[in-house]
Amino acid sequence: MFAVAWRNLWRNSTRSIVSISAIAFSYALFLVTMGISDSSYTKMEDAAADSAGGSVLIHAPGYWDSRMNDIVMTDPNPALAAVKSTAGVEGSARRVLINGLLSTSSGNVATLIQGVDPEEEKLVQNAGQYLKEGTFLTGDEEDPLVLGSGAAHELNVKIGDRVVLTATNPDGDMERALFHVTGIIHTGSRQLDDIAAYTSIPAAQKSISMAGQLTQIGIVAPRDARHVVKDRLVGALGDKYEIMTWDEAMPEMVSLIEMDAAFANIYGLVVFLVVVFAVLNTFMMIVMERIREFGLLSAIGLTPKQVAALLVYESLLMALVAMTIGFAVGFGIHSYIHAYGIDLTAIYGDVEMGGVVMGDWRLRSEVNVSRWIGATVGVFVLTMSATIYPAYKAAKLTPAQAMRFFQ
Amino acid sequence: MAETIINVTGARRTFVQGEVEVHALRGADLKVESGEFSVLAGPSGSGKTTLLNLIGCIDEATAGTIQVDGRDVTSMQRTEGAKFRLDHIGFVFQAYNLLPVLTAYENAEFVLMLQGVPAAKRKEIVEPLMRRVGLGDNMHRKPHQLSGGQQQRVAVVRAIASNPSIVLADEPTANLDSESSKALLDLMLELNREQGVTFLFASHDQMVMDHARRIVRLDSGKIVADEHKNDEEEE
Ligand SMILES: Nc1ncnc2c1ncn2[C@@H]1O[C@H](COP(=O)(O)OP(=O)(O)OP(=O)(O)O)[C@@H](O)[C@H]1O
Ligand SMILES: [Mg+2]
Repeated sequence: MFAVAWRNLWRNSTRSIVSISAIAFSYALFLVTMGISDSSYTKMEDAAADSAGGSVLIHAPGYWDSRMNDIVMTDPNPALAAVKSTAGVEGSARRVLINGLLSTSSGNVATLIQGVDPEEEKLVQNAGQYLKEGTFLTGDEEDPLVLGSGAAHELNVKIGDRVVLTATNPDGDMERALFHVTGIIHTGSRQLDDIAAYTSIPAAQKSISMAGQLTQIGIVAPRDARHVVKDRLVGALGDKYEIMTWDEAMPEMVSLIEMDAAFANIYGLVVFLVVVFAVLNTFMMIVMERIREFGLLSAIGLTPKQVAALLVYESLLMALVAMTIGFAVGFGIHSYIHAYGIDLTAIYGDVEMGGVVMGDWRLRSEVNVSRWIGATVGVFVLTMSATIYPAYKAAKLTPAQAMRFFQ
Repeated sequence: MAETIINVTGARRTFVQGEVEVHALRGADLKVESGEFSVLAGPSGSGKTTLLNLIGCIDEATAGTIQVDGRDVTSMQRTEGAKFRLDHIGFVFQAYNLLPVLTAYENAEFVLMLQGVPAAKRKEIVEPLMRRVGLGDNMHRKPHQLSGGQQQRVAVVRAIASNPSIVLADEPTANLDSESSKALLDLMLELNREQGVTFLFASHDQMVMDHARRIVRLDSGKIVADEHKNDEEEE
């Protein structure tokens, strides 16, 4: 019987090839879609975490909502020690964040100046990679200031020029400090380039009299471990600090990512329906074309169950062949995209989502094993269930009815 | 004394097509005994196929009883009917008798295979029959590589290979030229004589009627005549 089914499959080879390709193609498309969306999901989360300043952030209580210069960690050492001894922490970056006004004779830019350690930042935002001119906080400069290209243009400065910062210090007093432009970065995002301003931690601390104090500690942790790491830190530090994960810090980013995931799921569903339709259509065709043959088989003694089994075998074989091909193709495309990526910069340029630059618009693909298994089982089950209706119809006809079909 | 294989009493078959009722068979009584070579004759639409299908247990009677080999086939479930057909009835239809993906030999042994007869035994039965019907050299061809007459002969081998009580043949010659028709009928008649295979035809082909030893005439769903020929007359 199996042999008959196998040969039946290849009898009308054009039709079989068409439907096998339809199933294989949809399945492959499904896998590739999933690979890409899983990867971009991961990437968006990572980009969002980086843009927030880390997977987990530590501030003095109340800082994040107000962003006031006077809410600082006056003694950051216990927090730094806890970070160092907490399992799951991959790295951390100390920051002094100053809300202030940068001025030259040509103009003013209201911004957030970030005092950072470039080595520590490499794991997080790594603004140094966008350096266009000058240097990025090598440690030798005095009162260094690295500006975004837009800000530099607004202030009409070049390397070596002087810029004055006006800001309130933690005691609430107005202070002025002098900086020298040492570098200019260009990220490609206007929003960022217009306001970016970096200096070293000591220079920042000196500028508004907050020696030894920090505004923020950004912590790098594995994507899935961030909540665990946060809980450990809360356990170690209590409520003397404000400790939040990036998604708690940027809820609007979370909803954007979730929306993207929802679209990917809808797309997946559509692809899924295409598979079902292709299979259902094929098997309706098989049954219609061969009603007479099923009538004959039934007349000479095949039971209704055996007639249905013949069809189910055929679809089983078709599903196996198609899905093997589909998997090979899907995995092949995935591997290619995984290795080389698809450069979408040309299409999208630089895209920002909620102020986060998705700098590298290279689509990658990732295998989420459980989702791939789920999709495979799903396509298989759907393929098989698409044969149930035609098989049921075929088994239900009396042989005499079936034999009259084309007379 | 020949035993009664088929006993039809008061068989009716009404088809409902939307609002219209078609009375294909309006009460038919018929007995067929083993060893017969008979034909149901009559004009188109007279109910020949309908009666043959009821006897073959591939259609359900509206009323009446039909016994085949002493079993009431009208009360059978689908699966039971299929098994009954497999063991008791051979079929030869007008066309498309063979599974296109199987070779002539595989088609011929198909019923035996379904019955679970081992391959060696099948070969023992089918090969001589294939040679007997003149297909010894064409056993491994696919149906589309055979002529219409050859295809029908494969169907005959399949029908008789399992040694059924009766072979039902609906217009087996309708798609054949007269030469092939004659060859096929001669063959079936020989099988009837040599091996005692019982044949019941439905046909309006004159040649079939010429070969038959009994002609049951139908008209408008009723049996209107039943002629037995003498063997002497036939020669
Ligand atoms: N499944 C069906 N549905 C509706 N009407 C049917 C069906 N089967 C047969 N009939 C009708 O029943 C009548 C008898 O048909 P049947 O096929 O038995 O005739 P027949 O004697 O075999 O004719 P032919 O010589 O053309 O084969 C016809 O009027 C036919 O249209
Ligand atoms: Mg007919």
